[in-house]
Amino acid sequence: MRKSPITRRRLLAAGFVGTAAAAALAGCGETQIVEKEVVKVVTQEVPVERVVTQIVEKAKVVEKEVPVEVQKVVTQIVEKETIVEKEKIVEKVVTAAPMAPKAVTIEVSFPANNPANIDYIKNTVNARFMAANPHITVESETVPWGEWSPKLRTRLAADEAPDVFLNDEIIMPGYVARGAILALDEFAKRDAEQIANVPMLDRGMDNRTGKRYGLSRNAIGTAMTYNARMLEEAGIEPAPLNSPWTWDEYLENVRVLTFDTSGRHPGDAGFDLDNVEQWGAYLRDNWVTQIVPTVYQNDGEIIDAQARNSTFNLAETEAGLKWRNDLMYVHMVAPDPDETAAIESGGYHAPLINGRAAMYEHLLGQESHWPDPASLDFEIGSMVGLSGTRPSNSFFSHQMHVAKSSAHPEEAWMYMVFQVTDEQSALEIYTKADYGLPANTKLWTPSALGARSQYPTSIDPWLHELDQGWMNGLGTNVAWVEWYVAWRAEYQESSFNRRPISESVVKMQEESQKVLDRVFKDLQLE
Amino acid sequence: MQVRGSGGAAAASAGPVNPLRGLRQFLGRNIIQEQLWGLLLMLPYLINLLLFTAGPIIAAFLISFTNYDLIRRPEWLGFENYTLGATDKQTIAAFKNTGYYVLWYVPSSMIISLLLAIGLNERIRGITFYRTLFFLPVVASGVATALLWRFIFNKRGVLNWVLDLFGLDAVQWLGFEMALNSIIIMSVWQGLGILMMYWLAGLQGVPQHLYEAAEIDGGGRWAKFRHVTVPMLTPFVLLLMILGVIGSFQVFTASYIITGGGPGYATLTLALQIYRMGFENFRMGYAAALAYMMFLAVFIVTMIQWWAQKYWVHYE
Repeated sequence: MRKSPITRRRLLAAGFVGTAAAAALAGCGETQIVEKEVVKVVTQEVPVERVVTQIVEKAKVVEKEVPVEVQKVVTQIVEKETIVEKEKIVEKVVTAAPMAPKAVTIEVSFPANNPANIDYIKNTVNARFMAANPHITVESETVPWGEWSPKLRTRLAADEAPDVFLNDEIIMPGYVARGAILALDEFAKRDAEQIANVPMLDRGMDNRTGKRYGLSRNAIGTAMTYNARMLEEAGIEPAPLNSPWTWDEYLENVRVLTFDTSGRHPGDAGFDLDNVEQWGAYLRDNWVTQIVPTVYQNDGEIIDAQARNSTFNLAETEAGLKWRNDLMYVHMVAPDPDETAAIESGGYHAPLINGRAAMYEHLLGQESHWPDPASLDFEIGSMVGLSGTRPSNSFFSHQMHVAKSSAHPEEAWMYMVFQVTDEQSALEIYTKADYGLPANTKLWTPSALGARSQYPTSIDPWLHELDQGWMNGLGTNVAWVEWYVAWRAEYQESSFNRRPISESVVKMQEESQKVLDRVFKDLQLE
Repeated sequence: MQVRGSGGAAAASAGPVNPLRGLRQFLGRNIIQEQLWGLLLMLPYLINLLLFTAGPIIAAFLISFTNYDLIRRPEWLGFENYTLGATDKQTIAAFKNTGYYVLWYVPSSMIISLLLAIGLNERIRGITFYRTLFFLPVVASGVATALLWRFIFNKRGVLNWVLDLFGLDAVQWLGFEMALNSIIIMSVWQGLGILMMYWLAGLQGVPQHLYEAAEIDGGGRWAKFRHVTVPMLTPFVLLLMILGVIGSFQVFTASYIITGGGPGYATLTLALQIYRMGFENFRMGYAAALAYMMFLAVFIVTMIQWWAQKYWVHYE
């Protein structure tokens, strides 16, 4: 079939029609609704009686005092009123319903290893938030902790950062110094009342800038956990909440709790270190929260208040670390790192469960990794940490952040606030999602936290330490991971008993300070 | 009927024909067409090569001269990252550990796998089963096997249990002194299967008549191996050495999973150091510089191997 050619005239005509159509369509845009209403009032004639008194002048002739009867006429006028209504136009302005908030989608990305946690965040908390804020859609992503950091950083590099993300508090300053996260002071000031029960909000403060960059979602601290049967068999009473054991008391007790296969204790003649049946103390040297408590207990620090200089060269710090190492190599009440790795091969909580260790400074968090009480024939108890020169333990939090590049910071902030203020969500983040204590202190009561299905059944020691201010926050800084790796490598030379702690602390100070100096220079922070 | 090749009126009227000219035209057009088609078919690969291989290589080279933390704009540093790489305690430890690993892993894995291949080249009962058995670690997940070996190296693990059976003292397999050796042991175990397959291919490619000739000359088993098998396998030795060196410079999974580079820096390898610097410490520029330093080291070693082949590799 032959097609008719497109002539210039046809083209122009088509263009004209198209333009007209576009104009007409453009006229159909969104307008304010002004409704003209013609109100026609229909009335019925209703007789209305009105009494009108007619006053008529009367001539009064008084000639004699003979009364003359005069007829008085009273006229009654019945007024018939006809109301003629004119049609009048009443303009009624109908105000449209308030404009619905613009639909927004935010992306939240959290690290998590536990599948129950992942499901919980995705299915429950987000659904609850979206029900409360129908105009906000939450798209969430959970990444295993091991892959978290590289993934987040590559997303930041690609300018595709999630609106909200979670991080360890200790690495926050590094992100702040690089301008990756948004300062939240204005939001926090505006909603101060709402987040008043989140005292750990201060953990989201950046020491260097003095601004808030994070909203705490949880608290993770250490307390002393123990195998109750072992303590009972040794006739040892756990320390009461208000009176932590001193180092000396602890040493005395763990010595009793440590014995070899022949039942001899450290210090006894013939004690066989290679065949220890049960260790009283148990130390880990591969995570900072378990390395530094003795430093804090001895009034030491690992970094100064300005987070600029390492402080491993402080006498108190060195003495704290020395006391720790002495538990392994002088008092022989704790396994060395090699033995520790062997004991722990059954998992993070294994030392208490497999009957190899009696006491263990343990993090509250990752609750689902603990065994069900019904699966054990003994209790795992908990008590407050130790006191060298002061009662102390280590503590850190997870912070929620808004990416600086977020297109929806307001909604991102709303989401974060919801997680800590919606009591059910905040509580379940603790009980179901394994993130340590909820940030909301209103929930820090045994009744609110509810019966735990896993060990430790009593978390009072953790709450008590927090209440008493015995929890010492880990010193954060702009180069945290690199700084930590640098000093830990040097510390391990002494925790593996290859050199004395006095030599190690010199190296720890030197190597970690080098990292800080370089990073401050790189970031031009001075 | 016109007879082919006899010409005809039309051909005669067109004047003399140069048969080569038409052929050239035909061939020329075809060659161009073929080249175009060839290029077109290669295009997806070329695009991939340019965008995802050459691009990152060039980008990494440029980044290696900068201070780049993935968040802020890169800042030009010149050779600072390279000079730091030569003086930084951690990186020096990583280079030393990697060198040690290469020196021990490559020869030991090649020798053990060759012996294994010779054994499995015989006609013995259940040969397929044994070959499969030795090849299994190759197809197993690197992370899973590393976790498995962590348990084996445990102070209370299988290895020390075996030592104990023989009345020997337990070894700190993952302590400062032994940790890197333990990683080499694990890597050798894991790499045996694939090396064995290469060797088997090589062994089965040795011409039988050479063995027969050696037998006629009175050569025994050892003489045949020494004077026939080994020379004939030298091209394989070269290939496996080059691949082994390149691969072992990149060792990562074992040290990342089993020891995390520790204790101290005892098992910190170059690849792990690059990963840590780039993805844990915001130091992409430094990581890129380390990657190029590693490349340079691999390149130099490979060139030496390539150059030295004329002295010992026998091509038939």
